[in-house]
Amino acid sequence: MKISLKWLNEFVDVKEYFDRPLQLANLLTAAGLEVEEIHDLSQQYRFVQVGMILEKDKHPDADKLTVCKVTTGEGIVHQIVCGAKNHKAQDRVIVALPGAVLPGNFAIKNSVIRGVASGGMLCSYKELGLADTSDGIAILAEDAPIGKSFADFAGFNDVTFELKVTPNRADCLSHIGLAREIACLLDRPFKTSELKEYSPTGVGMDFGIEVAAPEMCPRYTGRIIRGVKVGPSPDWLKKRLETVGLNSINNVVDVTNYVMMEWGQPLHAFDLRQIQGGRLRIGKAQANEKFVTLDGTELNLRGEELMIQDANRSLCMGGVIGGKNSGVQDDTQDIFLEAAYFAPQFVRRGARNHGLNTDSGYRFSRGVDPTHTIEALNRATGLLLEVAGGQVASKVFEVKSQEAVRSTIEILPGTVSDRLGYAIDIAKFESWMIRLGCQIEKVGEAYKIQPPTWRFDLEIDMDLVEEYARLNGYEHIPETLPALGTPPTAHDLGYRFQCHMVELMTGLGYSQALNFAFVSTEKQKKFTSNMDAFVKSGLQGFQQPVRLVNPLNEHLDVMRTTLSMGLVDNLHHNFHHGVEFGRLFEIGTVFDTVDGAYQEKLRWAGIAWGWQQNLWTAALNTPVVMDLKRVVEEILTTLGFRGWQWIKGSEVGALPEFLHPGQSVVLQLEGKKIGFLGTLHPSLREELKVRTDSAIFEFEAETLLKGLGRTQFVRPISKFQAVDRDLALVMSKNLGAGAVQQEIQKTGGANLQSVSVFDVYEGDKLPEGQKSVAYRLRYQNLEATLTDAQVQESVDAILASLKKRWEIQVR
Amino acid sequence: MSLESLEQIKKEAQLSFTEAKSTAALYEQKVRFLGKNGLLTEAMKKMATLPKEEKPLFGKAVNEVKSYLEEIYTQCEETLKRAEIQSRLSAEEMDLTLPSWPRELGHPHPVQKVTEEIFQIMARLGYSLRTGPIIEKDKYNFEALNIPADHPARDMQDTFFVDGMHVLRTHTSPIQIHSLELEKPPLRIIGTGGVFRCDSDISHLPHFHQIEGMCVDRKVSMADLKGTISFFVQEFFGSGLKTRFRPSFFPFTEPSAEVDCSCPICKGDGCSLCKQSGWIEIGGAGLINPRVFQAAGVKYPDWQGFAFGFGVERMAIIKYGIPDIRLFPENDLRFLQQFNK
Repeated sequence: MKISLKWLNEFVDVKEYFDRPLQLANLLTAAGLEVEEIHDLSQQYRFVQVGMILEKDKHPDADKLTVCKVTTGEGIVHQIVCGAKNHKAQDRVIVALPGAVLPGNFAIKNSVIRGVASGGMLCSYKELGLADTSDGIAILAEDAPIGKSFADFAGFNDVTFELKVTPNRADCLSHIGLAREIACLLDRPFKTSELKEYSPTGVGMDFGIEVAAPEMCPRYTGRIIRGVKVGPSPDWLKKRLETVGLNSINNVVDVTNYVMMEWGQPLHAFDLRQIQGGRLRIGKAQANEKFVTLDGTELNLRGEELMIQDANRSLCMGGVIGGKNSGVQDDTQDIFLEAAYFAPQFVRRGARNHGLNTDSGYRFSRGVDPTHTIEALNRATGLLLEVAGGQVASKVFEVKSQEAVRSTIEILPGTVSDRLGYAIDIAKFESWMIRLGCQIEKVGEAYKIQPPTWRFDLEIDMDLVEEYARLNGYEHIPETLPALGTPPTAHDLGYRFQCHMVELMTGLGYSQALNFAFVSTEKQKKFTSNMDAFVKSGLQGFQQPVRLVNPLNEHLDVMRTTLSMGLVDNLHHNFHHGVEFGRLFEIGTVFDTVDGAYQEKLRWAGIAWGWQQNLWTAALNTPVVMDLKRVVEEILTTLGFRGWQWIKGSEVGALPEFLHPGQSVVLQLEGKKIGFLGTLHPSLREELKVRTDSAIFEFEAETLLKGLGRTQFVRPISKFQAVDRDLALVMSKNLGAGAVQQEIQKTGGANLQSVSVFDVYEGDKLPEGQKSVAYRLRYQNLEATLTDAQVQESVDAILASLKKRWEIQVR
Repeated sequence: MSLESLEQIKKEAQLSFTEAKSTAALYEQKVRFLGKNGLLTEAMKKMATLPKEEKPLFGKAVNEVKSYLEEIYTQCEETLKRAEIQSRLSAEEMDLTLPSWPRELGHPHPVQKVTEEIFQIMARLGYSLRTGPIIEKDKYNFEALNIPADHPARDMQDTFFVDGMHVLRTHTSPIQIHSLELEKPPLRIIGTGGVFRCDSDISHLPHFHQIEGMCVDRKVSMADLKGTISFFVQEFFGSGLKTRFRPSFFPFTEPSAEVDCSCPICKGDGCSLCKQSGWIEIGGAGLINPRVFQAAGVKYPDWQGFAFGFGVERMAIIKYGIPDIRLFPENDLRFLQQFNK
């Protein structure tokens, strides 16, 4: 909200701050009313003065230019070249002298125009930023004081504050409200002038007001004024409204806005001609009722809005916005002026439901002092009669269903000290409460404090604790540490997992990505089109994506169901920004709706593309997917898992479409499929124009989390020598070497310690469709050195089983 | 076999040993003279043919020659070994100024790094980490935090709605309520995670991260809050930095404060980061509003508490001088690579 210091000064003496507004701003900020910006209006017209043209001559070298001698005070004469046509000698004009910087960052300097020196500029209102069009330079009245600064002359000698008012301090949304706060802070008198009361003159009128929804409108007041002349406002009124950021509309509307900015009480003026049936009814709208606001927007009412109605129709949405049917027109003569108190929650609901942001709605929804409606009405009446003429034609109509009585708060000074952590000064406490406008009563040790009607936010003792802290200064709060009396609890498992994984993954060369949790519906639909495949791979959460009701845009309108899509985007971004090889992972949440309930699941995903090129050593060129697999296996091992299985994509039945069908596997951990790993499909890479080998994985974290809490007991180390046996096995090309390895492990007996693959061969030396995989089997026993016979027994068992199951032969 | 021929063998062997060019060649000569079938051994064998009285003399002479030659051999071997290791070393010289094997460590996301740093600091004060759902009931995101429907405080946070009852949490404060409901005080928790606001421009992301702390105990004051944050500020940004509270408004705390710390860049002298003020706003804090305790079923004033919260991205921006908030969700490796575990 914009505050004018000049206006403020009418209610509390702040004269000394005109020269040092920062000091007042700091005072307010320290009291919780943050001043975000300070504007010294006179600054924009520095070096701009009122002057008089002494002589006007033709420019010797240009037809359209004149050379003027202009004075800005006794004996001070400037030669200025001017391109305007509407000036003559003896005219009083506005002179911008060298050093001035006009709106649009237009700096005035000494210059030479077509060979003639020019020391300034004669300004039009447009050049001063005061008009949109220009018909030549501004010619001032004959008595305009020569030499006076233009800011002073035109009343731009004000300072404004941009005040950030928190929702609890609606009482500071007006000049009177803020003046009251400053009076309290500075312990200065708050100046209120007696407001004139008006009694009706002329013909009375039969007029009735009925409040049908008193809970929504506890107080409604208004009066009729006849014979006003609608027209432009006088300059002082226009200027003052402009200073606080409001546009001048006409004298009647301007007066209502003026009183709102002064008293914080929004007013509304109805054209009396339009009030049919001579009565106003304040009640709820009808469902599906159409209402056109004064700016021409048609609203479809829900039926819960608070409306000001006449005998036949709605005229105004109470406290929010007037109707087109009843606003003040150019030919309006008689008006009904309303000053009411509308209950905040209803105003807010109405304004919000229809997306209406008005100054009036803003104030009512935060809370307006209910006790000032009549004062505001009288203030507005006085101003109206002054700027628009007319006469008061009715008594003040008042319908009041509720007295504004504030309940008292009981507080012990000891509570204030305890909560703030320092001993408070009781005399100071009393004094601050009184300066705030509270009624205080001491009952034993305690105080009974009744807050003023404008401080809606003071309801419980903690509110008063804050008032004391704030007024006494937050800088007086000391720094202590609370004692720790109980043992700390365990950290959240999911977060521990995340930290642990970040530790491990970064150690393995993978950097962490964090993508937005929402994505585009359309894109996600396309990416997860083969949903069945995701489910078959062990990922869950594809029942019903969670949509946002009010997304920022269509690119971020649904919660993600997969991390892979974000990582593919990251690959695309990086690759096309010159990062030709990279490793990324993400630990993140995906979202789903299961049986009507929202579900969030933690996932672990990774993406790898390319290898570093241009090395002085031999290039790295193993398939990227194997690097990814290495990382996954290292993590599984580190988490204490053993005996997981990789199942070939072809055996699972279906794979997400962005995977290469021949280079993909599904991970089975502790008997449960938990996701996929594979090379990105060449078509997707082509579409993304990513010209490098890329691979991706995505797993559910649920099973992995189990590894985190397990203690891994140490296994004894054998003192006896290990024996290695190598087996080159010929098998079908389609058979997974991993399955064979697993079978060897299973049938090898207790002494078989490990199985590894050390060679794979496919070629002419083998029958069509066959491959040879060489396994190295390591045997060891804890108690004794193994004999050849013992090892051979195991090998025989393995070979028998492999032959039986897959017809595998030793090469 | 005579003593003369023995002397001959000695001379020949000595010559061969000293002329050997490598340890391998030397060894060959050793075998030739001193080996099982070597010349000296052959000489020994012939001793049997000598008359009995000559035997002792001859045997002694053979032994003398043998030990003499073994000594010569050892000397020659050492010399050769030394030369050989020298030439091997110069042959194996490698330019270690060449770039090393290019396998670098990965990098944590700055949001993760800052969150972890903060929570490690707070863990030393006895705080434990909590998370909570992202899709949150209106009750937890607003109502229980003293932000009733149709309250202007709702305007402070532009909310994404999932349905009439659920929102994407606009702050991490619902974690406080879950914790108060599920756990028994006293409590010290740090809540963290993604939060969402319907707001996107050069200084706002619609999905960003917060970290907040809550302490609930029998007696907790604003001074305790200020002391706790002051400890945090000095641990996180650097010792000697000051903490300042300014009055503010949050529905869930009373009294409420904006928290500033002296600018970590200029240490309070004024610079472009702090807009010449010497102070940087880092978050909000306050004593937990009794209404919040009431909503969570915790008895006030038997239990009291404070809470504070920071924006993680903002902390990272301040600490690491990150120039543009839009770098956070981009996951550009050239950006990520600048953060280390």
